[in-house]
This record gives sequence, C-alpha cells and structure tokens, in this order.
Amino acid sequence: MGGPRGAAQTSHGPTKRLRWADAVASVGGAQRPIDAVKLGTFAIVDPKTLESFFFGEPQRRLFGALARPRDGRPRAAVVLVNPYGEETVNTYNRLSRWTKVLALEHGIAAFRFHPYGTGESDGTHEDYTLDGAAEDLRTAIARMRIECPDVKEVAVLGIRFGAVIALRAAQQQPLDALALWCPVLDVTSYARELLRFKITTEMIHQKPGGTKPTVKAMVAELQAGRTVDIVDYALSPAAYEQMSQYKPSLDAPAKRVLLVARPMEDGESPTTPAAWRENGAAVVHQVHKVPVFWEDFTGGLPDPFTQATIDWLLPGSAR
Amino acid sequence: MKKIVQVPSDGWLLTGIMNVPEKPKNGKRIGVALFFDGASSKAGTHFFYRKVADALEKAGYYAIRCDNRGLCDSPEINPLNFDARINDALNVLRWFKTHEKLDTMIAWGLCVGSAVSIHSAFRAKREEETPDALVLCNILTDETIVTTPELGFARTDPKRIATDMFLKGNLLKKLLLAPTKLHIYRQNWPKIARGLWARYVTKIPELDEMRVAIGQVPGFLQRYEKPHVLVYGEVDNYRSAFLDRVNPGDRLGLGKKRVPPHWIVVANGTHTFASAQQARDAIEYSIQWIDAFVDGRDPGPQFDYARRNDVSVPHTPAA
Repeated sequence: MGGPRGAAQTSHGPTKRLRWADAVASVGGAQRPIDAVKLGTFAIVDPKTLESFFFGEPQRRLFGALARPRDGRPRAAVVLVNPYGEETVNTYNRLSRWTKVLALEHGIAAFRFHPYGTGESDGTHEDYTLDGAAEDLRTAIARMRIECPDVKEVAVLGIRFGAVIALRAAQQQPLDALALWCPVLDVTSYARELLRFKITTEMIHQKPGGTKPTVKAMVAELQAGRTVDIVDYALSPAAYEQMSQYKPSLDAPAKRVLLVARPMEDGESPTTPAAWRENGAAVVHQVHKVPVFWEDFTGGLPDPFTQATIDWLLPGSAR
Repeated sequence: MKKIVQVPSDGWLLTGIMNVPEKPKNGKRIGVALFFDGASSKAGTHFFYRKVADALEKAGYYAIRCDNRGLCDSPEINPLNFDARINDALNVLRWFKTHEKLDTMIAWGLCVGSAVSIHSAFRAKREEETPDALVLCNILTDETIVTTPELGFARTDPKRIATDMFLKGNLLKKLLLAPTKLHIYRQNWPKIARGLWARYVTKIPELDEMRVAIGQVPGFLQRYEKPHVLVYGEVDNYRSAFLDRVNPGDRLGLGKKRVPPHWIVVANGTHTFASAQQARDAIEYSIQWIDAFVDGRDPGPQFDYARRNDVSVPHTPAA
C-alpha cells in the first residue's frame, strides 16, 4: 500500500497508489471518505495533524495525542475520556480515527489522553483510580487550553466509564461543555460487572479442578486491601472503593450537556438529565438504538452519536 | 526511559514509543522491535506490549513499538492491510537499527505480529532491516482461521464449519449435548442463517490477501535459519491449530532443522496472556530466551522444541 506520495518507489518495490475511495473511515457504520483530495495532495504526512506527547507533572507524566486541523486554527476543542479496561482497547483505533476526522474534516481539535496508570502514561494499572483519572482530565483540559488559546470553550467527551471520570471532575469544578456517550451511571453495579467479567473469562479457559473465583471472594480481597487481577487489569482497593461510593451529582456538570445513550443504558439514572436541566444546564438528551460498540473491534462508531456530537460541538455552524 | 518517536515509513509517519535502558545488557546495544495486531494500539490489550517493553528495558534492552501507518496514534487515516504492515515493520527495523546503532536486533511478535515478524525476516533485503532472531508468540499459522476483527470476522468457510461441527472433538459428548444445543439452534436459526449467509457473500480482498500471507508462514518456519522461539499460550486455539492441523507429528520437520525453534508453553495461557500471571510468565520466558540468545548459550532443555513437541501435557520452562 502506498503512502500519501501516491505511486512512490520504496525500498520494497513500487507501491500501489492508495485507493482513497477504499481508504474510508467507517465512522458510525457509514462509509465516509476522508476528504480524499485534500489528503491525496500532501507530499508527506503532516505531523502537526496528530501530535503525541507527554504532559503533566514529572511525577505524574501523562500521554496524550492531539489531532488538529491542517490550518492549525480549530473552530472547537474537545478532550476525550476513554472508557475503562478492555473497552478502551476495543474502541481505541475507532476513537483515534474519529478524532482525526473531527480535525481534518470539521476543524475540531481533539485531544485523547491516557489517565495515569493506563496506556502509555506513567504508573501501573494499580495506580488507576477514579479521582486520579478525574485529576488527570483537569490536567488535560488545562493543556488543551494552552494548545488552543483562541477557542472559547474546551468541551469534554466522556465515553462509558470515561463519562463517570468527566462527571467526577465536574463535581470539583463545572466543565465548559460536556458530552456523554452511554455513561455508566450505576457505577457500583459496573464495578461488580468487572468482577463478574473475570469469572466469565476464567470459566471459559479454566481447566478442571481450578479454583473458581466468586464476586464475594474478590470483594473480600479488595476490602482486605489487596488488588484483584481482572484479565491483567489490576483493580486496586482504592479504585474499587471510589467506584462503589460514586454517586452522580444532580448539580449541572457544565453549562451545555449532550447525553447520548442506547435504550439499555439510558434507564440507569433517569432523573439525572432532568435535574441538570433544572439546575441551569442546556441539556440535549438523545436515545438511539445502536449496537454495543465498545464490546468488540467490529464496525464503526454509531453514526447518530458522532453526528449529534459534531452538531453539538459546532452549534449553529453550517458544516 | 521512554520516549516518543516518529518513524518514517513510505511517506507515512509511524508514532511509537522507544524504551532506552539505563544499563544496556552486556554493555551492548541490543534492541527488540515489537509487532502486534493492528487492531489494538502499541500499548496493547491489557497494556501487554507496554509491559513487555518495560520489562525489556529493565533487562537492559532497547525496545520499540509503533502504531501502523494511519492507525491509532500515527497521523492520517489508513485501512488495515497486511502488506503495509510488513513494509511498516521493515521500516521500523531499519530505523531502529540505524538510528540507535544497534549491535543486535530481535523481532518480537504476537498473533498477526508474529506472522508480520517472520514475513519481514524473509522480505528484508538489507542487513540493517534483518532481525537477528525472532520471538514468535501465539503465531498464526493456519490460514483457515484467519480473520480480522476490524473486517467483521468475515468470511465464513462452510466446509470448515461443517468439519468443526461434525468431525472434530468428542462425538459422544456432542450427541449427549445435542438436545440442549438443538433447542438453542432452533430458537436462533434465522439469525444464525442470516449471519452465516451475510458473512459468506461478503467479499473482502484484504482478508483473502491475509489468508495467502498466513498460508506462507509454515513454509517460512521450515526455512528460517536463525534462532527463534515459539511461545504459545496453553489454551490458545492457535496452538492447537498449529499442532493439530499445521504441524501434526512435526510434519514440517521443525525439530530436524539445522536451527530448530525453541518452544515455550505458558501454563493456562490465553491468546493474549490475559492475566497478571500469564503476562508475567510470557514476558519472563521471552526474556530468559533472549538473554540466552544474546549470551550465546543454549537456553536449556526446557526450551527444546524437539523434546517438547509432544505437548499432551502442559509444561513451562523450569524456573
């Protein structure tokens, strides 16, 4: 496959011209070409369109990847907060690809970061906690303000457990604008689901005679101050405790809120969006029947979700 | 020390992380390039690749892992393609060797990344892009099970499904369980039929290309003449596919080669070594083998492929 040079000769023989018609990003399940002409005219990849860097305090170094429009003048800015564990892995490439689309097609600067103890950031997964991740989000927002000084508001998009992190950060100080995709609002149940996930995984692969873990035993381990291994994601007692004790606030988390959910997850906390509205937030609440996009690698991101988010990030603009 | 690097690859830029050891092993510059399935990022599922790289650094090795062109944290957008992966691998190997002035370079791969590693070794034309040894974890050798999650697990081979359903495994157990299973099939047959048909009629050239490429892997294993080790998870079905279908009774004659592969089975190991214990074992054994290779000594009988080829009982290298 050739690069943006088109039919350039490489050390591995002539490369085929990249078929831009095929090089489409399946965003939201729909086949949408990524501005073939614009991309095809570049002699080499412009590294400024996606920059990866470490940021934050030296003792809490975080990894981030910032997608920018080619002209370097973003019309809006958004910080993404990944889901938890395998859901992050499953959605990583799709979210990354979508942030490139946001930047290249819509002029929206989009910043993805890895909370401390995850991905390429320093620390181990044992260091990962809800409060820590919320603090990291605030660091990421501060960095985004520096990167995009001309943008009035830095929005936050939290996906699944990432939405909880965003809401937790908003409990300390309201955010400019907040989008939530299928937020995990019943966090206590979610924490238990994680433990059940370990049981299911081990049931599939366990040999006869092995010790079968139980949720009760794992909770006891956590309460005794010991970390539990969930398919190699270390769930620390502090993380579990913070998850178990988390309660969504009824205070408005931001001036503008977009909540998009599937019918299944929407019922988890039915009163919350109404309360946010009563407390002064402009809430857009949509429910769409879309596949569970975070459970495997297949498909794209739900088109209604991506579309609603772009419309919300660029209010009143003709795209 | 970890640093972010950008490796040029046929006009693209690959974003990667390089680990630089504080105390290089034996005072030499020895590097390990990590290759993996393009669906996950360079950190990997349960951040496994990051753990491998960190452990290599601690053991005194340089390590590099890059996102493929247009994927994850690499700039621009590009669909998955096996050929591009190999070209990216060769460009990473060449850049790594020359940029870091390495004395020795090893390619380490998991799953498709293993197949990419051995393909690269055969396609390399220059000395600086040729690995000196290979660590092949859960290598995909059976083209009949090739699928890629990004491609939607297409395309179904009806012959293979029939064989798996009726001719493989314990027939008596199947007959005993039939009433229960038939009930489930009866309830879901329209859904199953629709899914199978959709998958069968879907034409995916990339998948066909990949099947051809994976079909070449057994031949490469037969002909590879440099030190290499096969690391398999005990319960990974790629291992059973290798032993039962690709190389029953050492049909490929690997044990008789001038440089036979070494052999590691990680107890209870799944395809991605998804538990803290499995990950630790896979990393520890890989590094034990790399240490032995670098020191120029035999890694020991526990790594002996010929002796360990009968894997009817699980075994791991001796501590």
